[in-house]
Parts: sequence; structure tokens; C-alpha cells
Amino acid sequence: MGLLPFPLCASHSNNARGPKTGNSVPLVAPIGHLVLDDLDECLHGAARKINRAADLATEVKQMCLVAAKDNKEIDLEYQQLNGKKEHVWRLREPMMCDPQVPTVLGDAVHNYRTALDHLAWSLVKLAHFNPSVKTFFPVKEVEPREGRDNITIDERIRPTDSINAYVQSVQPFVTYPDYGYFAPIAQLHRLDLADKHRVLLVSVVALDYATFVSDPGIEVRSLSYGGSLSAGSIVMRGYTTEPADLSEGKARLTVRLKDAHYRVDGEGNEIADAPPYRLEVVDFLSSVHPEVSEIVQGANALFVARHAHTGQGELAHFEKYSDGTWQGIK
Amino acid sequence: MGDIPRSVELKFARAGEHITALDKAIKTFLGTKPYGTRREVERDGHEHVFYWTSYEDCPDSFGLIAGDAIHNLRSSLDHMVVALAIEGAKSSGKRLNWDDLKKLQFPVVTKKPDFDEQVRRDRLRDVAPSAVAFIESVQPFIKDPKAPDRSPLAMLSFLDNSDKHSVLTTSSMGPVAEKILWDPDASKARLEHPEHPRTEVGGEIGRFVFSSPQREEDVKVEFDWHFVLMQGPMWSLIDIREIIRSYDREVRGIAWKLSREFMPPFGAMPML
Repeated sequence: MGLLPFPLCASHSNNARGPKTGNSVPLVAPIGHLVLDDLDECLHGAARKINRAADLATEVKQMCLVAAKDNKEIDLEYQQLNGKKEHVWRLREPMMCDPQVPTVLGDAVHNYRTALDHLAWSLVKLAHFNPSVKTFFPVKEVEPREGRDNITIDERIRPTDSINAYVQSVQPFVTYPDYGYFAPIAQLHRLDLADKHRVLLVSVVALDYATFVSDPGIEVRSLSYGGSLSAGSIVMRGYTTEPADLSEGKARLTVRLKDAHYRVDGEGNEIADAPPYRLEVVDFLSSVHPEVSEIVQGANALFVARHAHTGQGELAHFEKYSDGTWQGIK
Repeated sequence: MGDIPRSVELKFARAGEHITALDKAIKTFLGTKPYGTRREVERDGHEHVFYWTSYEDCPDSFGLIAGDAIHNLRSSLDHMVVALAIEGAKSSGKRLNWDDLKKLQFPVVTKKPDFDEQVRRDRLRDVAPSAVAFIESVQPFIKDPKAPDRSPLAMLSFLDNSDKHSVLTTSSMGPVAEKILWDPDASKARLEHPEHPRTEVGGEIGRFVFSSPQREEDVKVEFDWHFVLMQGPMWSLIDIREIIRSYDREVRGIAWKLSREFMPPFGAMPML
């Protein structure tokens, strides 16, 4: 009697809509799950990706918290040099970041980014077209010049369609005029590209701030921060005209991304002499989550409105109300 | 002889973590005994029909974790190409800028003209010609000319794209019971699935139809649940974990060969 492969059943297990309940953490929380109940069926793929990203982001934030010593101030070692006229503050111990941070962060970034692509996929279907592997959610930091780079998730969708209007309305150059480059989804897009094709998102423990106490009459000049964060490295340096006794220092740490690809301008051109811009990991994750969640939830109104107007043509436009909800208007 | 670049190694390690996590998630889920069946012998033993006595949808996390594993494996190849390009540029005294790097990618295509097009688009710019030749040699249209779409690299790429752009891997996993303890040829058994399967308690799973009556004790079925992808060209009865592990082996093999042949040694760097 042999043991033979003979599949008894092969059936779909997940219903299309997924879980009927969601975590009710509000979206304004730094990392919270997107409530699935309120979303159209098609948007659940995006919502799942967001929730997966949120879980990974929570993992990253926890690692960052450990690296930043629970966000508590740490003591700096104070040293006087040059006859007490030069003052330096050093780290007492090495500051390390969990080596897993880059890869887990890369996954979180990718899941947030793909949530937007899933949204694009759903919107193309909403427009009654078949999405393809070329379907993706565009992210534009600067407004395209007239006649070029029409912002759309699919060329087949009419430019005047409310879907395109919606996609355009959430672009970084619209939501962050003049600062599109720093919009959370613009940063997300660049980080995903970097992590996917180029290099890992190298994260380092960095100085958030450093302080010390001195008598009011003592003037400390040329106070500078910096240095690497290995044990014994100087993180703050200052000078006094007269010999002085200053206090031991305190510092708070943070985890930042060290990636030279931030040395590019709004057009994406590399700035040769620009100092590296170091993105704070926790801040970034906290800002990107509500942004992506709101984009997906905002699109929900398009689905709801279109379903309500089945057979009555396209919606003319949509509006965002002061309470943050979106409404399609025919 | 060189070592696998650090970023590639880390991507492999991360994929490995996801594979382990998926394995654990599946075992934990199956530990809750989500699937129960009963058998009814019908038509005087000519048909043995199985029905669900319990059924639970598999957690979303399966597809999500699988998607992350697949993405890390796919991007490890891109990282490999970037490492090769940086080496190539360095040897000709160049420094790659962001625009150069953005274009780099490990092409995975099923036709020769598509590969040439990828090269033309600078996907392999600054990569040594011999390494480009190797990358071409592992392309699906060379390795699996009869069914390039079914080659591991093509499927890996397909799944990564699907996970990125649709809900394929997040809503299409289903359980399969794979073992019967008799010889289906000897008993001339065939398995029929209902036209509209209902994955709920009382729903029919499938029926074995025999040419001669069979007693229940003579045709034993062992339920050994695993999860497979159920949609698109990836439809297969192979355990998703096995599929991902096979991609893992394939990708590591390519990275190892490229590192060994075309990268300089970085020093002692353990193989994963």
C-alpha cells in the first residue's frame, strides 16, 4: 500500500472581503491598523498591506526605541581641555542599532508602497479596465509641466475622470506645495526604490540633542554637535574665553536613515556637495502610515459613490469635507 | 573568487526569516484544527463523498508573509546587479549616481528580444560583459525554453509583481489534503470536485468515484493540510513553503555564482 499524492480538495479559502472586523485603533495613532469594515471590497488588498506594514513598522519602532535608550536622556562624559577653555562631551558607551532594522524597515516601506499600488489596481478595475503589471500608483514630487507626464494610474482612464482627479489630488506636489520632495509618500517612494534596487536602508543611531548646564554669566562659543556615536566619541564641543567649569551633559538619541540618495533636488538630480539628509526613522513611519491610510480611505468614497451611481455615468468630481471624509459628487 | 555582497546576504536572511515565520504561522493555525471532514459512503460504496465538518479561512498573514519572502528574494537579485555594476564602474574609474542606480535591475524575461531591450534600457549598465552573459544564461527563455513562464525565476518575478499590484497572494491561498493510503489506479478511482465548492460546514469537498464498491476501511484517507496558491498561472498543489524554498535555492545559486565569478572577495563573510 503506497502513500500517494492525491489532492482531495483544492478550494479557495479566503473570501474576497477578508476579516469582518478590524482593529479599531484610530488612524491618527502613530501606527494603527486600518479598519477594514468601512472599505469597499476591492480596497481590502490595500488595507491588508497597510496593516502588514503597520505591524512591521511597530517592530522597527520598537528596535529604534531600544537603540535610542527608550528615548530617555543619557549622561555624557564631560572633559575640559586647553586650560578649561575648551569643553567636550563624550558618549560613555557605544550606541548600536539592531542590524535587523534595515531589512524590517525595507519590508515595512515596501508594504506601504504596495498598498498604494493595490489601490491603483482597484481603481483601474473601478474604471472597468483590466489592470496590468504596468498598473502602479504614481508619486510626483513636482507638478509635471503642462502636456507632459499626465498623472494617471492608467492611460485608458479619461483625464477628466474623477479617479484621475483623486489620484492627482493626493500627489505630494499638491498636498505639500513647494515641499513635495519631503512629503511622506514621496519619501516612501524613494526609499522603496532604494531598498529594492540599490542598497539597504542603512540606519544609524544619531544625536537628537545634547545639553549641559552652566552659570548664566558664562558664555560658551562655537558650540557644535556631531561626531560618530561610538564609545568615547565627542558629540558636543564648546569654547569659553575664560577657564570655566561646565556641567556633565545629557543627550537624547534617535535612529536615522543614512542614505546619500537624499542628496538629490526636487527634480531628482543629484546635488554633489549637499550634506546627507538623514531621515528620522520613527518620525517617518509615524507620518507615512496616516498618509497612506488616508489615501486608501479617501478612495473608498469613489467606490461608494460609483456604486451608488451605477449606470448613471461617471462622477463629476469629489470633495473632502472638514471632518476628513471624502464624498464623490455627481 | 568573491563573497556574496552584504546587502544580498541580508536580503536572503530576511527572506529566510519570512519563510520560518510562514512555517510557524501555518503550523500554529493548523494546530487549532481548523479543518474537519466526514465521509459518507454513497451508491453502495461506489462513491465516497467528503464534507466539511469545520472550516476556517486561512489568515491573511499567510499571503502577506509569503509576499514579503518573495519580494526579498526578488530584490536580492537586483541588489546583486547593483553590486556588480558598482564593481564594474569602479574598475573603469566611474562613480555611479542615483540616476544610474535607479535604472539597474536584474532582468527576468521570457523572450530573448525582451532581454536585449532590458540591456538597452541600462538595466545592466556597468556590469561586466561576462556577468551579463551569465545573467542571460539563467533567463527563463534559456533555462526553460519550452515553458519559460513556468521557470522558477519567471514565477518568482510574476509573484513579486502580483503581490505588488494585485491581491493574488493575499486572497488566494487554500488548503489541500494530499494523501490517500491506497492505490488509485488499482481501485480505478477518480476524484470529482463539486462544480461550485462551498467552503463552509456541510459543503462538499470532493468525491471519490470507484468502478467497484469499496469499503471505508479499504480506502483510507489521511488529511495532511497544507496551503497552495489557487489563482493565476501559479495554480499548483505544491505547498507554498516548498515553492518559496525552491525559489530561495534558485536565487542563492545565481547570487553565489555571480559573486564567486565576478565579485572581488570582501574578506571572511559567512555564507547563509
